Amino acid sequence: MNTETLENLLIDRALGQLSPDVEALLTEHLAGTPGAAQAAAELREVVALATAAMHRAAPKLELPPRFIALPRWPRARRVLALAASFMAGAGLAFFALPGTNAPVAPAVQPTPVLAQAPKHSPEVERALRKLPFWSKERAYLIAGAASETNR
Amino acid sequence: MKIRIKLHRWLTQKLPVAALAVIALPITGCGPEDWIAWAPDGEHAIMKNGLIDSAGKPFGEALGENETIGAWLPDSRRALVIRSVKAASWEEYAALLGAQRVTIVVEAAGELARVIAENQDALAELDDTPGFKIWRENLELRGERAEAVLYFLDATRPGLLDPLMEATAERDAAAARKENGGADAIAPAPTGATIREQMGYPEIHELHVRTVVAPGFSDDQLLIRFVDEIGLPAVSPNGRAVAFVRDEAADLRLYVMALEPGAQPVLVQSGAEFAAWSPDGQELAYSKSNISRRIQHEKDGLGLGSIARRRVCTPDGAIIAEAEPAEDLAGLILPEYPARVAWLPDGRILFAGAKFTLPATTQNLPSGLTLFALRVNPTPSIEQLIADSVPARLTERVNFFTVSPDGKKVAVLGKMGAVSVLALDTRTFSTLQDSSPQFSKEGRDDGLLVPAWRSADELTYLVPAGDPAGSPLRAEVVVASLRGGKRAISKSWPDSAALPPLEK
Repeated sequence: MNTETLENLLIDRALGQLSPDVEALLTEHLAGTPGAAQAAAELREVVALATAAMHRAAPKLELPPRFIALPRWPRARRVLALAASFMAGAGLAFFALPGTNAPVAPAVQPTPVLAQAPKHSPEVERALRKLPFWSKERAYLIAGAASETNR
Repeated sequence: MKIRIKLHRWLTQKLPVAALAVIALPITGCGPEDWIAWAPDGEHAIMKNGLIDSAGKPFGEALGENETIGAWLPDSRRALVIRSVKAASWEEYAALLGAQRVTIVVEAAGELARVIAENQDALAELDDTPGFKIWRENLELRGERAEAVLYFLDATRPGLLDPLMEATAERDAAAARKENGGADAIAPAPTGATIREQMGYPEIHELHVRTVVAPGFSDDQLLIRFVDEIGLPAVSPNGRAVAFVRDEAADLRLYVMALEPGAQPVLVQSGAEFAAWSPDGQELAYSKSNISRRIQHEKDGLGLGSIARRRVCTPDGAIIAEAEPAEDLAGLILPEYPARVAWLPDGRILFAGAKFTLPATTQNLPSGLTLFALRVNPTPSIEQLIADSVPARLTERVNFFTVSPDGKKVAVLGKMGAVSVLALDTRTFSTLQDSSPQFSKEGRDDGLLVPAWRSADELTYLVPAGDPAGSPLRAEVVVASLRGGKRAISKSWPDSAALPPLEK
């Protein structure tokens, strides 16, 4: 494995973007490559420091695939990008989460979502749309769909 | 009028009180009333007995005794007027009833005549006889009203009903004398002819479009006539269509119709009771009951219902003759009739209901209502809009919520005249006026008025006597600005302004 590929993988792992299979292969590789293991440790330290500074892990972002596949940035730019993503995460957390630094909460409770529709297949969705709410057939259909999902 | 109701009740024995009382807005009930509606431009308002300008002064001609204004059109000049007139003849009434219903009425009339003939010796107790009970149940099953049967019998067999009416009236008079300790202060029982005179004929209900704000100019177009009462009209955003509820003998039914003479109503949903237009004017969201509200009322049962939607208009506002299938969006325990819905500009649908989890013990039945927002896209979800920490007295009548014209605020009626505003973007619940004992008689809210929006920032409601903006001796109607300050608009109104709380 060349250095650039390894760095890309390490950064992806620090961002939590590696699949379990790739991560297992990377761990195996690092165990036999002391230099690479040290670079990986440095990246982990950056993540840990940023996390500690925020009192909370940065939210995992669902990055579009094209960003995950972006290749060959110089290392300094990649580190800057990593730092920027942590800053963005910290900013989001500051506004979205209650904490010691958060603004004083308004005198109303946040709106609780009482019911959220589960995702069904398009066929099930189409069938459900035609059925009244208080119908046995709807209940059977939803129960059947859940049973298929859990199989 | 009283006798007519009494006779009708005696014959049907199962008066659908809730449905009749609220659909027919002029019939006063104990529940809060939509007593005022401001035009979209806020320059005029319609009330039960006429129009006022923004300062509260009477404007234009008052409505007729049997007229109510149902809704403004978007131009702020025209309004939908619901007018009730006595049928001139059975023929006129039958033409509106339709062939199918006329057949039911004629058959039921023959059966009733036979029951009367078989019980000539016990007319005063006719309602207790097996024959009458079977007749009444059959009539309900066939979805027709006793009123139409009586009218037909009276028109085709004059005098047949007189002995029955006189026996009933004499029975009631005797009961009243007994209650009065034998005192003969009660008027003598009327004769059959007098009863018929007072009873009159069944009413025909008309929907008109009338120009109400045009000095020196009056224009009225009759759109359609029904033998059933109509109510809760909702005009589409572009003013080309109207949705309304028709109180048919079989059930409540929601219709949509083009706002032009000769247009025919298209059935949207049976059992639907309150509708709101989507912001684009193509769909209706409505509440509907799982089983008939009348049956719920008779059985004293909690009503299960749902919120549904249906596309009824094309993008250019034309009515779709065969509307696409309706889609149920959410289920709920219905509040008292009618269960309101509102469709916000951001796409959410508001409704009030009880928060409830099954199974539950008998002590866990829902004790109050709250306000919910149903988000349809991208994934259906329901949010509770008012925090549980808000005192129940401030939200007791939340099912009479009204949304501001800009769709960003909701006025909430509480117990004993409490008025609050929920800001939908910040979810801030601000109370403009707390409960007042003046608005309660014997511990029961009496004659409450539903707050009405004049504009996005001004709300009209009733303040108790002694309020700084009102009067020392009587309640007054104020227009309150959410930015601060309020002004009374009712100080020149007489006590008899058809607003019971205004009485000293």
